[in-house]
Amino acid sequence: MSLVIPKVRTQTVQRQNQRIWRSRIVSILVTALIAWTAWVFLTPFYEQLNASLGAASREPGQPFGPYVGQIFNYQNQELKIYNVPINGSTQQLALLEPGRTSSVFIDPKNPNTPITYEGSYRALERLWTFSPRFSNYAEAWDRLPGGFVRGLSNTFIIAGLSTLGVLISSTFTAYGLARFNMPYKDFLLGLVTVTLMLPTVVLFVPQYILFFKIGWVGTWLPLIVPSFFGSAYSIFLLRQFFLAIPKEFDEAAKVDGANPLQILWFILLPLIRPALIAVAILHFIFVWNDFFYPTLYLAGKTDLMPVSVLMRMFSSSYGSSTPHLISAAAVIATVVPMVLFLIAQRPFIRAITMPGLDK
Amino acid sequence: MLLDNKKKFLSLERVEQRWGWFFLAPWLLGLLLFTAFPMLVSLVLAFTDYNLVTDEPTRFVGLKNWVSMVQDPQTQSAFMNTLKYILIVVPLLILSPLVLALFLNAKPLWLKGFFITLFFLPNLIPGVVTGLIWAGTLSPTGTVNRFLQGFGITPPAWLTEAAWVMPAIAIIGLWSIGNTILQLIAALKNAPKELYEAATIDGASSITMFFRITIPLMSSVLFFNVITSIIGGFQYFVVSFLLFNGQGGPNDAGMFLMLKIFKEAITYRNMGYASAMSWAMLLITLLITQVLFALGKRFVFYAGEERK
Repeated sequence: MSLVIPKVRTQTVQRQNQRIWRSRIVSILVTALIAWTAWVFLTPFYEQLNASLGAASREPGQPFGPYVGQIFNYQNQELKIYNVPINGSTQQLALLEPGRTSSVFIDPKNPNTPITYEGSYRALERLWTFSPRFSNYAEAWDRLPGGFVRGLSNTFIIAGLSTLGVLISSTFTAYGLARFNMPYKDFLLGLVTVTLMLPTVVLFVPQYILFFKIGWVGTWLPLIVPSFFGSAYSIFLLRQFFLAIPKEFDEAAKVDGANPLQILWFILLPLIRPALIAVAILHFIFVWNDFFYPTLYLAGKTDLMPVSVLMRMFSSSYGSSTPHLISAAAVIATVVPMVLFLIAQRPFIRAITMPGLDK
Repeated sequence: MLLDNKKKFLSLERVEQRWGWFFLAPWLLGLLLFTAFPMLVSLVLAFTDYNLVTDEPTRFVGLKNWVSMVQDPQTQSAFMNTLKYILIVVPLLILSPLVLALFLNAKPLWLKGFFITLFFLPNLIPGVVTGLIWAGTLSPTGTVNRFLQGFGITPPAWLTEAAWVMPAIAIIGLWSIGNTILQLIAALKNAPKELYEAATIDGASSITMFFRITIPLMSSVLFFNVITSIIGGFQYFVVSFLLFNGQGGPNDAGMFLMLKIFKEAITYRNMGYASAMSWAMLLITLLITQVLFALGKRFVFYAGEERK
């Protein structure tokens, strides 16, 4: 009898181990699958990075990306280095005299004795070295129409002012809709949802006519001023956050003699700070990336354009001759939204995941 | 003094209302100035031959804009392409994030947060850059074709052959499913565990649980994304504008309603015609969303709501 017990115990331990291993194998398989999918998914991005560090065009056989052909300097000549099969072994030799049927190579280590290779040099494989051209970025920085300095500062000013406007006006509206009772309130709430759900871009024709008539086309005003009158998405988000704060907070302050503006400023705003950050970043990135409205209102005004519009001008005028510079400029234009996202990932994700969950 | 006395007589309710209107005033003013007023004006313009730059007096032309809208072959292809986008691309934009979200939320997966971030990254890239990246990726020497050639497949001319434009647009669209993935994962995480436990005790299979618990819990997010993706179809602009230089591509296969309106309004300054098209688009969207909301009432489950 005494022998049976340890036997059972080892069996359960074995079974447990088996289970752990099985779940580990499942984990490895699932993770590998997702990693592969993510790799495929992000390939275009990776290629963009690669292209931004490469040359304008590729020579035949040159691998994609930041690779340059290996060169041997010999008597003020730049000789290309090839893998040459000679006497049964492959040697790395520099091509001195190319020929169809036989070519003359020299050994970089011993340049004074030419080696003749019987066969076409074209069939040989060149040697490439990994050598990223970071200078592409400096060149793209200067060559972007209007310049990156002007473009980036334009984008910052437009996106910054627009974000400021949205923050102020949407906070007010969301607070009003969350805390005060008034006639037609259901109708007003419905208006927020309708403006949220409608393709707002449909409004661009009438808005364009309006801004054209009052002389705002060709200025930043149509891109900034409407933000100071609220944005439906931000109002919707902020209202949800206001509703989540118990009304007792307001009541207590009211008893102490605070008016609604003071309640908003001293009590509620500190409580919804994460939401404000989320709304600000979401809106900032949206305006930063926006292409449609600046194209519409800033046509022909290169010195006022944000980076997105300048990028398109750059690519349509130089895209075929300098694709590597376009890629470099594209990477630069992407950095700011990426950095903002990485800094404030948590509030950002919350702002994105909210509207689908709450009705 | 007088003012003070008056204030005392205002009931608390009236005071509250006044504050409410005070806080709503900027938004309401903006709605009137930048939305309602221009929209009304454009409704009138939709029946005129109004052109922003000619000096000729504007005339009422009745239904002419609306008739030529139906007859204009470019508008027809723009409409058909938008419809194709909604019927073919939108389902892909809903189903593929659903599958990915289930994987990304699955227990065995390691490094969940890292992978979720990876799938979200393309959403942060400016639309212009997305267009440029994909113009390169789908070019004859681009990654996709090199990949296909690796398998001995003759690659299609994605952006120059009319039949391949919509598949190309679908592939590019799939690049920005990160938002939907995030929302679906949040919905999955919010799922109450008790439901699954109770179902397990009742002997429900995992397939039953998926269709009876998981899908209903995600239905509100799915519904929200169906609506926004359809609206996105009506607003489809930047990528097509970049790929085909605003011209609609081969055989107008990349022409969309939004692009056509932009062309009429901004390139030709035909504001009357563009206004009519905007209004037509608005009415179509309203109709579609209304139908969807009516359907949604039946199929979409919101937490905290009782099911009839």
